[in-house]
Amino acid sequence: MCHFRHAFMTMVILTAGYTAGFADVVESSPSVAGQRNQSSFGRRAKNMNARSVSTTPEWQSKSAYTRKPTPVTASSFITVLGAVRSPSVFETSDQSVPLRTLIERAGGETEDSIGTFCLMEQGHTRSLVSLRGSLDQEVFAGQIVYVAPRGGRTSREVDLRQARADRLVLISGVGNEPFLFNMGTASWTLESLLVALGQSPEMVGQKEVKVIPPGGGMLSLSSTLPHNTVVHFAPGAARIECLQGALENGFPSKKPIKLDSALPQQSTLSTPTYRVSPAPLNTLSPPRPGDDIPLLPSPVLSETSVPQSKDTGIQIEPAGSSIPFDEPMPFPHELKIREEALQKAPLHKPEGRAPLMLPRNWKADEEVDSFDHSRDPVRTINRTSAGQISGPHQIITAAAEFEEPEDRQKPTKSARDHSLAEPENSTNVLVAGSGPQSWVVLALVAGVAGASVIVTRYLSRPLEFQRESISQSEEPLQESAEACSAELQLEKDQRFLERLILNKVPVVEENIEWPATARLHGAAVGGRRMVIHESHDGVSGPHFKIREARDTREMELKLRKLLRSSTRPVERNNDVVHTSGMRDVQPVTVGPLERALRTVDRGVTQ
Amino acid sequence: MVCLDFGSTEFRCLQRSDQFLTGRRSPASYISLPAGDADQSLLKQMHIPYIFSDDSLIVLGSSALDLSHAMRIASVPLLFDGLVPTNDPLGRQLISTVLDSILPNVGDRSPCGLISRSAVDFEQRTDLQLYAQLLHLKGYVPVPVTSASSIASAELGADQFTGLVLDWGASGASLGAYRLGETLVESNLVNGGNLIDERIATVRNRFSWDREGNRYLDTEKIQAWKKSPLIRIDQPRTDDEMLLAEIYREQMLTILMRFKTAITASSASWLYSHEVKLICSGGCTQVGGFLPVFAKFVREVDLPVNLSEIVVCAPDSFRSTRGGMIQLELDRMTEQSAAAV
Repeated sequence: MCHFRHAFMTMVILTAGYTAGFADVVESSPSVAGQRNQSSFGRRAKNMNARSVSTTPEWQSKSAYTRKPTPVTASSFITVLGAVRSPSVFETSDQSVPLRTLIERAGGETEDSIGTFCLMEQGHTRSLVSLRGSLDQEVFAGQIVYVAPRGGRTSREVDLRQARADRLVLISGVGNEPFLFNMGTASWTLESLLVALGQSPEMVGQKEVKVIPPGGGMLSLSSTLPHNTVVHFAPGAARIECLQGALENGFPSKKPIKLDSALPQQSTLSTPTYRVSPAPLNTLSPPRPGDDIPLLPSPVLSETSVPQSKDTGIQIEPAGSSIPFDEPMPFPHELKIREEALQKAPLHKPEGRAPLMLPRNWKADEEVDSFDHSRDPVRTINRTSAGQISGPHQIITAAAEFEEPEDRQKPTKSARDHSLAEPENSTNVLVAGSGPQSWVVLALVAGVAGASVIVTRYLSRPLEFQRESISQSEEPLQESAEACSAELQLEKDQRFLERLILNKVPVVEENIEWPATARLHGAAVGGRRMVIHESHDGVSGPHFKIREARDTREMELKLRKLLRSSTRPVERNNDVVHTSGMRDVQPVTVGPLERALRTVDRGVTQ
Repeated sequence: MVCLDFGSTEFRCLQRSDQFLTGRRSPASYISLPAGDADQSLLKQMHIPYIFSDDSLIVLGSSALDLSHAMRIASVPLLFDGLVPTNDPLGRQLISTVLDSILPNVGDRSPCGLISRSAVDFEQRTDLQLYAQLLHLKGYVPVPVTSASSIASAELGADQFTGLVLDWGASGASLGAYRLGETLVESNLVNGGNLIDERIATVRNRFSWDREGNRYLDTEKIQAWKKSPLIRIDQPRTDDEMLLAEIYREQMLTILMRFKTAITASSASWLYSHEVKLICSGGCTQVGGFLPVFAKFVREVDLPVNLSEIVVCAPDSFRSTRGGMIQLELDRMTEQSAAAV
C-alpha cells in the first residue's frame, strides 16, 4: 500500500511538472548538486528526492523541506577524524580552509599523531600528506581529513585505549550533512549500524555504501567497525526518512560545528534540529538522549595506583591493565610491557616449522645505565656494528654469580656421628641355652662379636664417607667448570655473532664433490619447455619442413597427367603407332619418368 | 649452524666451522648428453663427473656450464621461475643430489635456515616442502627465512636491523620493511631478471640453436650484455638500452606501487616518522644506472616512508645465507638465555 502510494504520488508530480519550490528543493538537494557529474547516480537521486519529498503529508507540513531552504549542501562540510582531540564535522561557508585551522579547531593533534594526513573525498582517498609538507595546504569543502595515528600496537592495546574514549564513525552521503556516530563502548558491526540507521544491509552487496576503515582494507557485514571508520552512502541510495527517524529517536551523533563560530569547549550529545515524523522502530534501540554516555576521556589514573620499581625508579605498568588515555604510552615502554608479557608466556614452538620471531628480551632505545643487570638474568645483545654507536645499545653482561644450591652443600653431620651409630644388623641374637654359665659364655661371645663388628665398621665407614664427601665436593667444581665453559662459549658466540654482523668472518669456499657413481631414473625432459616452436607452427624438431604424404600423392598425379599428355614413338617395332590420344600406348622401354613414378608408387604403398 | 639458499641461478650453503664459515655453491643447472660411448669416453678424459639416468648422462655444476658452451648443448635450469618442477622426476632427483653435495654433513637435529623468496609457511609452498623433506632426511630442522629479511639481517646491522630492503633476483623481487628484525610489510613480485632477459630476447629475436637444431632464447647473451659497463639504463643510447630501460621502469613501478599499497593498508606508520635506509641487493640491481633511476621512481611514487638514503650492495654470493645465519644465531642465543633463566 505504501509503495502504491509512492508510485501514485510520483506519477502525479511527474505529470503535473515541477513547481518552482519543489524544483528548488531538488536542485538544492546536496545529493543532486554534489553529484551532477555522476550520471549513474544523478538521475536516481532526482527520483529518490522526488519520492522522499512526496511520501508523507505530515512530513511535508512539518519538515523544513517544505520551505525554500537555504542552499546548505554537503560540500559545505569538512570532517576531521583520527588522532585529534575532538574529531568533528565542521560547517563552513568557504570553499576551502587551511589544514592548520581545521586541526586547531579539532583540538589539535594528540600524541598519537605522526603528522600524516589523509584526504578523502566522496569515499576516495586523494592524497597522503606528510608533516614535512606545509600545514597551510587548503582542504576543500566536502573532503575528510584523517589524521593518521601511530601504529605498531596490538589490537588489544588499541581496544584498551579506546575503551573509554570516543569511538566515532563518520556517516556521509546521507541527507544534507555528514554526521559522526558515537559507538561508545559497544562494538557495532556494519550490519547492525545499517539496521540501526534504517538502511538495508544489502546495500553493501549492491555497492551502494562504501566502508573505509582507517588504514584501508575491507570490512564485511559482520566485522566490528573500528574507530574512525567512514561509511559513505552513494547519492540517493539511503532512505532518508528512516535515517531521520533514527536520529529523532536519539541515535547518538555529534552535531556539526560551525567553523566560523567560537571554539567549543566540549562536544555534547544532541539531536539534530530538523524533525520528521517518527519512523518505524528499529530492532536495535539506540540509547536515548537521557542516557549518560560519556564522551570525555576517562580521568588519568592516580600516581598511587601505578606501582613503581624501587630500585630503578621506572614506572612499571602491568601488561594488559588500565592505561592512561590522555597520555599515550611512549613506544619503548610499550615494547617493555610486551616483552614482559612475552617472558611470562610459555615458550611454544609449533611443530614442523619455526617462524621467525623477534628474539626474546630484545629491547630497543633503552638506556643501558638504567638497566639493572644484576637483577635481570636475561642477556641482551649488542647490535651495533662498525664502531658506530648511534644511541644507547645493549651489552652482553656476564652471567650471574653461581650460587651453590642448598641441597648440594656439605653434609653437617660429622663422620664420627655416622660411625657411632649402631649397626642395623645387630648381633644381639639370643641364643637359647641352659644355665647361667652358658649365659655368661654367650654374653662374652656376643660381646666379642659385637666388638669385632664395630671395629670392622669403624674401619670401613670413613672411606665411604670420604668417597661421598669427595664426590659431593667434586660436583660443585664440575658445575662451576661447566658454568665457566658455558660462559666462555657464550662469549665466544657473542664475539662470533658480532663479527658475523660486521661481515668480518672469513668465508672459506670449498669445492663440491659430486657423487662418483650414481644412477638416477627418469628421462631428461626439463629442456623441452625451453625450446621455441612458435615460427614452425608447432612442428617439433628441426626448422626445415618435412614433406607429408599428401604432397607426394599430388606430385604423383601431376606426373601421371604429364605422362598421358606426352607421346613417345616406340622404335623397336616398325609399326608406327599414332599416339594422338585415341588409344593408350604401352611403351616397351621404361623411361626415367616412369621409373620415378613407379618408385613413388612403391614408396606410397610401403 | 647451517643456512641454505636455493636460488634460481645458484644453490648456496654456508656452514659455521668454529671461527670461520665454510661456503659451498653450485650453479643450479645441468646438461644432458646421450649415453653413448663417445660422450662417456670424452667425459672421462676430461675428468668430469657424470650421472647415469636411463638413456642419458647428466652433468651438474660449473662443468655443465662449460660443456654447454663448448658442445652447444642447452643447459637446463633446476628451478623454473624459482619453483621446483612438478613433472620432472629427474629434476627433483638432481636437486636432491646437489643438496647432498653442498651439504654433506649430517645434522643432529640442529636448525638449518632455508631461504626462500616468499611464503614463510611450508603449507603454502610445495617446493619448500620438498626442501624441508630433504633436510629432515639429513637430520636438520628447517627454519624458513625470506630472502629480503635475510638481506636485512646481513646489511642493516648498523641500523638495528631496521630499514627497507629490495631483493631483486633472477626469479622475482621482494621489497620489505623491517624493524628490529621483525617484518612489518613485505611485497613480492614474480618477475625477475629471467623475465627481463626473455622479453629482450623475444623482442629482438635473439635465438640460439643446439647441435640438434632446437631453438632457444639466447638469454645468456642478454645477461652478458647487461653486465657490460657501457650499458646504462639512466642514459640509454641505443634501441636495446631503451628497451631495457623501459622494462626496468615497468618492473620498478610495479614493485613500488605494490609495496606502497601494502604499507598504506598496514598499520606500520612507524616508518613515517623515522628515517630509514633502503638496501638494494640482487643481480638485477647491478645494471648500470640502476640507482638514479630507482631513486627517481621512489620519489615519483611518493612512498609513505622517510628515506635517508638508498644503497646498492656489491655482489656477494653468500649475503643472503649470512643474513639467515645471523637470524639463526640470534634465535639460538635468545633461546639459550631463556633456558638458562
